[in-house]
Amino acid sequence: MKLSYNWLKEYIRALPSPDKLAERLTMAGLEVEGIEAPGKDIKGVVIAQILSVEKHPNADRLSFCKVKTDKGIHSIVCGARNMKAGDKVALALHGTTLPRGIKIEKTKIRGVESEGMMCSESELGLKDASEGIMILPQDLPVGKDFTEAMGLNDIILNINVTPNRPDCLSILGIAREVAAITRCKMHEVRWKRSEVGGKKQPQTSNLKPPSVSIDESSLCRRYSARVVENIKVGPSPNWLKQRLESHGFRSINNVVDVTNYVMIEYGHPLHAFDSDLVDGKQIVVRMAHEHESIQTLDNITRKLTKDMLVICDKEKPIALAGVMGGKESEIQDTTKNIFLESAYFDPSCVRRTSKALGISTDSSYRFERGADIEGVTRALDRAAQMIVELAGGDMAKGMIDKYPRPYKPITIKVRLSRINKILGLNINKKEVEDCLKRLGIDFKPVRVQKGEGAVWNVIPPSFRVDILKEVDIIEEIARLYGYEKIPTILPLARLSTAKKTGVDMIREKVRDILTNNGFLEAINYSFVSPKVFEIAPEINNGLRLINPLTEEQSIMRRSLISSLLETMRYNVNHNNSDIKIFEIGRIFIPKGKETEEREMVSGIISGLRYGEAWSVRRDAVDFYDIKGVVEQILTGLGVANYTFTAKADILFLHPGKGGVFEVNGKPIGMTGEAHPDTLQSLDIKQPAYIFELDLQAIMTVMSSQKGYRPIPKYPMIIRDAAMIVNREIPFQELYDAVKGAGIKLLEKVDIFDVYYGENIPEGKLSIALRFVYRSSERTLTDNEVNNVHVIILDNLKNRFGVEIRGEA
Amino acid sequence: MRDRLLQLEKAALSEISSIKNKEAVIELKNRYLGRKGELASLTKELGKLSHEERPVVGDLINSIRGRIEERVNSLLTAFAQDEREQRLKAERVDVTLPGRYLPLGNSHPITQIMDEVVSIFLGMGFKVAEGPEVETDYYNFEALNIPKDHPARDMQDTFYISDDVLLRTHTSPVQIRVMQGKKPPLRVIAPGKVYRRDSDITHTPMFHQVEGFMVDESITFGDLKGVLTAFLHSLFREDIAIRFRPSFFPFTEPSVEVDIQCVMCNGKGCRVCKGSGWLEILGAGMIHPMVFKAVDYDSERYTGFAFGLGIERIAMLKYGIDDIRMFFENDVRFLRQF
Ligand SMILES: [Zn+2]
Repeated sequence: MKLSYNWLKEYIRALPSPDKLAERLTMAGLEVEGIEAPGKDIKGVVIAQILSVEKHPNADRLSFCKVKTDKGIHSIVCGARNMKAGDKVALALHGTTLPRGIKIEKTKIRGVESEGMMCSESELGLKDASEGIMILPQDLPVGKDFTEAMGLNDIILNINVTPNRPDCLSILGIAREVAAITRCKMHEVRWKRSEVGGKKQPQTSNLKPPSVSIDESSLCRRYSARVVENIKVGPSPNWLKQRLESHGFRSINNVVDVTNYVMIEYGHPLHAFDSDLVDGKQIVVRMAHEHESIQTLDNITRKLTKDMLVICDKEKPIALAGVMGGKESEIQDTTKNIFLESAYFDPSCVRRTSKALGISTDSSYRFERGADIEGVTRALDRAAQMIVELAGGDMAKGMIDKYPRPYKPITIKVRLSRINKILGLNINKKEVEDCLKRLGIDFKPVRVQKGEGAVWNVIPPSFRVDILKEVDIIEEIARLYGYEKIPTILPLARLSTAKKTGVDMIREKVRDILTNNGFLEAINYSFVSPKVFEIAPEINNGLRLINPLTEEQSIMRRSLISSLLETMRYNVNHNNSDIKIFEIGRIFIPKGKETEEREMVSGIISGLRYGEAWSVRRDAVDFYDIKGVVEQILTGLGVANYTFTAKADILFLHPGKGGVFEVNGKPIGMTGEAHPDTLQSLDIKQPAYIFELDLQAIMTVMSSQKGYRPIPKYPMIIRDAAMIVNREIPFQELYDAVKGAGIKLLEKVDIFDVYYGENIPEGKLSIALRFVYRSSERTLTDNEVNNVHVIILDNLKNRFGVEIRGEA
Repeated sequence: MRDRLLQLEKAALSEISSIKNKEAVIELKNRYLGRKGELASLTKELGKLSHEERPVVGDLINSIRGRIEERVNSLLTAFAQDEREQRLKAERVDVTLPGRYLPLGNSHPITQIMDEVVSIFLGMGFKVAEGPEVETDYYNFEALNIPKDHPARDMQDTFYISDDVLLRTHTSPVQIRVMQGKKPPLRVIAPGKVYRRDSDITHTPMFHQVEGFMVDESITFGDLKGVLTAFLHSLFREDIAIRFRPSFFPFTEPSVEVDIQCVMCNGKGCRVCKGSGWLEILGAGMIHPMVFKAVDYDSERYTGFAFGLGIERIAMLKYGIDDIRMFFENDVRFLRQF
C-alpha cells in the first residue's frame, strides 16, 4: 500500500521524519519496503506561463520565448517545439540546480540572452527520458513552487500490509497505528455533511432513492446508500488527481475519483451507479442465477454462477458485489444523478467470486481481507459530501442503511499470566493496559482470586477484524512492547540424540563416492516437459500440474535421467563436453489417487575419462566406467549380494549395452549406454553412459554392518591362466563356474586381461584369469594347488570348450 | 730393480695425474696392478734377488702397489660420483608441470548450505524429519490455519495437481505430520524441496527450505529469539547484528520476520538490501493454538516456536550470487566453483 506522508500528516501533526517513521512502522509489523520522494531534488523551479513563442533570430532550431512569473517577464531560449503561447511550464531561472546536476545560469545563446530553462520531465529527474518540455495543467498558479503545485513535495511510503491487517489499507488505519506506536495524538479530519433538507425540498422524483432489499443477509450484512442529484461529471481538480496518482490510481472523473479517494483515506470501497440507468428504481442484493451474465467495467462480459453475490436492479445484475461494477450503469460524462453504494460483503464470498472470475480489484482486495462494518456509513457520507463539493448537485435527504443484524463487539478473556508465558516476559498489569489503551482496545479487569494474576475482558474495535482470540491480543502486546525488548535466551531442554534420517545418511554416502569419482552434483526442477515422453512414451502417465508456469514444466518427473540428459545437452552446447554429473532427487509415480515418491540417484558420463591433461591418455569413457561407478556405490553402501544381468529393453538404454542390478531378484537400478535414438532426439552427438539407482530399494537390502576377518597368516599361491573362449559366453558364467566348483582353497579369482583381434580366431576372445589359493591353516604346497587348479580348468574346458593357452 | 720399481711408480703416478676417464683408469689399473700387469711381472723377478734384498724390495713393491691402488681407487670413486651426478642431472624432470590427479567433483552449493544449516541444528539437538513433496491441501494449508478462501493463501502461489492435491509450498506440513505421531518435547527440522508458482531473478518455481520447530511445556518467544540468534551467529558471523520485527504467518502468533545486518555492505545500505542495511533471512513465530488444536495438543500446556528459511537465499548471500536461476541451470562452470 502506498502512503502519502503529507496526507498522513493531516492526521498526525507531530509525525516523525519519513525515515524515522519508516523505521517505527517496520519495527511494529508494517514493513516499509521503499520511500519515494520524486521531487526531493527539485528546488527553485516555479510555475510560469508562456506569453509568446518566436523563432530565434539566429537559429532555425531554437525558439525565443517570453514567459511570465510572479517576479516579472523573462526571456528564455528553448530548443523544444511542443509549446505555445498560454501554456503553463516548469521554469528554472538562473541560480537553480536541477536533480541531475544541471546548473542554470544566465547565458547568451547565439547572441540572444536566456534567463533560464523551461524543463522537461527528464531534466527534472521525473522520468528517464522524455520528449519536449513539460506542459503543465492550466489551473496551476503562476509563480508557485513547482514541487508544491504538482504535489511532488510529498513523500510516498510503500508499506507491505500483511493479510491480517486490512484496517491498515488506509490513511486512517495507518494513522491509528502511528498514534499507537508513537503515542502521537491523532486528529480525525473533520468535515460537514450538507444534506438537502429543510426548506430546500427535493425537486424531482429522482431524489427519491431506489428501494433496497437484501436477499442474502449473511453475505451482505450491511448495505447503505445515498443519492446525489444534478451533478456535473467532469475532470477532478489537480490536487485530487495528484493524490490519486501518487497512490497508484488513475484519475477518471470527479465522481469515480472521490470513491477511490475515500477508499484510500478510510479503507472502505464504494461504488457509484448512474441512478437513471438502474432499472425500476430497485436494488436487490442476491445470488446470481445460472446463465446470468454481466459486462463489467473492464468491458468484459462475464458468465456468472449461482455462488456469486451480485447487486441487481429490477431484472439483472448491475455489479459484482464488492468486486467490480457493471458497464451498463457506469458513471458517464452525461450522468446527472448517482446512487452511491457503501456496503459490507462477506470476505470469503468476495474472494471466491474474484478468484473464479480472475478479477482482483482494490475493492475485492479490501473486502476479502475484511472491511470495517461500522465504518460503512462514514465512508458513504464522506464521499457524498465530496461529490457535492466537487461535482455540484444535491445530496438527497436521508440515507438508506439496511443493517439487519448490527455489529456486536466480541469479548475476549486475556490473562496476564498467559501473556508472560508466551512471551517469556514479566510485564505487569499497567504495561498491558497501556498497550491496550494506545491501540484503542477496550478492556475491563475481571475480579480474580488473590495471587492469580490480572485477567481482563477485552473488546477489540470493529475495524480490528484480526483480533479474535487471546493470542491475538498477546501479539498486539508484544508488538507494542517491542520485540527487541523481549529477552533473548536459550531454552532449557532435555538432552537427546540428534540424528539424520536413514535416507539422508545414504544420500551423504552416495554423494561422497560420486564426488570422489569426479562427479558434480546437479539439481534440476522436479517438473519436466511432456516432450520428454516423446523419447519415453512408457512413462507418459506422470502427474500433471493443473496450473504449470510453462508447458516445459508441467509434468512431475518419473526418472532423473531425462533431466540429466538435458543437463548434458546444455553443457555440451556450452563447449563442456567432458561430463560427469549426478543428481539425487525424488521421482513421482501415480498410484491411483496417491503418489509414490521414490528417492533416486542418477548419473551421466560422457567425453574424456580424465579430461584434457598433459599427463593422461585422452581416452573416452565407456560402459565399464559407468558400471564401475555403480559397483563402487553398491559396495560402499554395503550391498553385498547384488547381481547384474544384461537386458535389452531398458528405457533410455542401448539394447546391447545395458543391464539391471538386482538383489534377491528385486531390481535396485540399472546402467548402460544411452540409446543412440534418445541422444539423437536431443541432438547430442557424443555417446553417453547413465545409471539410475533406487535409494529406497537399496535401503532395504543394504547392511551397514562391517565385520572383521583376520589377516591371512600363510602365504598365497598364484596361478595365472590365459584361455580362448567363445565370445558369446558372458564372463559372469565362467566366473560362476569357477566359484561354483567348490574349491575351498581358492581364495579369489580375478580377471586381468581381455583381448580379441589379431591372432585370435573370429568369434573368440582371450581371457586371462588369476587364481589365488590359500589356506588359513597352513602353507600350501605346489602339488596341493596343482591338484585343485586342474579340476577348475578341466571344468571350464568341459563346460565351455575353452582352450587353455598358457599357464603360469 | 729398485730403480725400475721407482721408475714404474713415477710413470704410473704421472699417468694417473693426467687421466681423463673411468675406462682409462681401469685400463691403467689392469696394466700396472693386474695379474699380468707390470708390477706382477716385476714381482716375478724377486726370485732373482738375494736373500737380504728380497724382503726389502718385496716391501717396496707392496707399498708401491698400495700407493697406486689408493690413487686409482680414489679416482674411480670420483669418476663414479661424477657419473652419478651426470645421471641424476639427466633424470631431471620439469617439476613445474602440473601434477596428475583425477579431479574431485563436488556437491551442489545448495546441498552444501543445506548441510551446514542442518548440522547447526543437529548440534542443538534437533532431529531431522522428511515428508512428501506432493501434499494434500489439508497438511499444506488447512492444518496450518490457512483455510480455503483465506487471503493468506495469496502469500504462497501454489501448483495444483488436483483440487485437493498440490506441491507443498513450504516444508511446514512436516511439522503437522511429526506432531500427529509424537508427543512433546519435540525438536525437529524438516529440510526439503518446496514449490511456488513464481519465476524471476529472485524466485524459482522450485527451491529449498528448512523448517524447524520446538515444542515443550515452557517454550517462550525469548527462546525463539535465543535459538535463532545462535543459529544465525553460527551460520554467518558471531557478531552479526540481528533484528526481530513483527510479521504475519497464519500458523504462528506472535509472528516474526528475522533480519540480519546486510552481509554485502555491513549495514551501510546497498543494492542488495535496497538501502535498508538489513536482509530478511527467515520467518518464525510462536506456534498458533489452532495448529496445536489440529494435532490434538493441549495449547494451555504446550507452547512452541516454528521457523522457516530459504536455502537459496542464504546461498546467494554467502556466495554473492545475484540470479537464483543459476542454481538450476547446472552449468558445470558454475557447479565446479563450490
Ligand atoms: Zn546492503
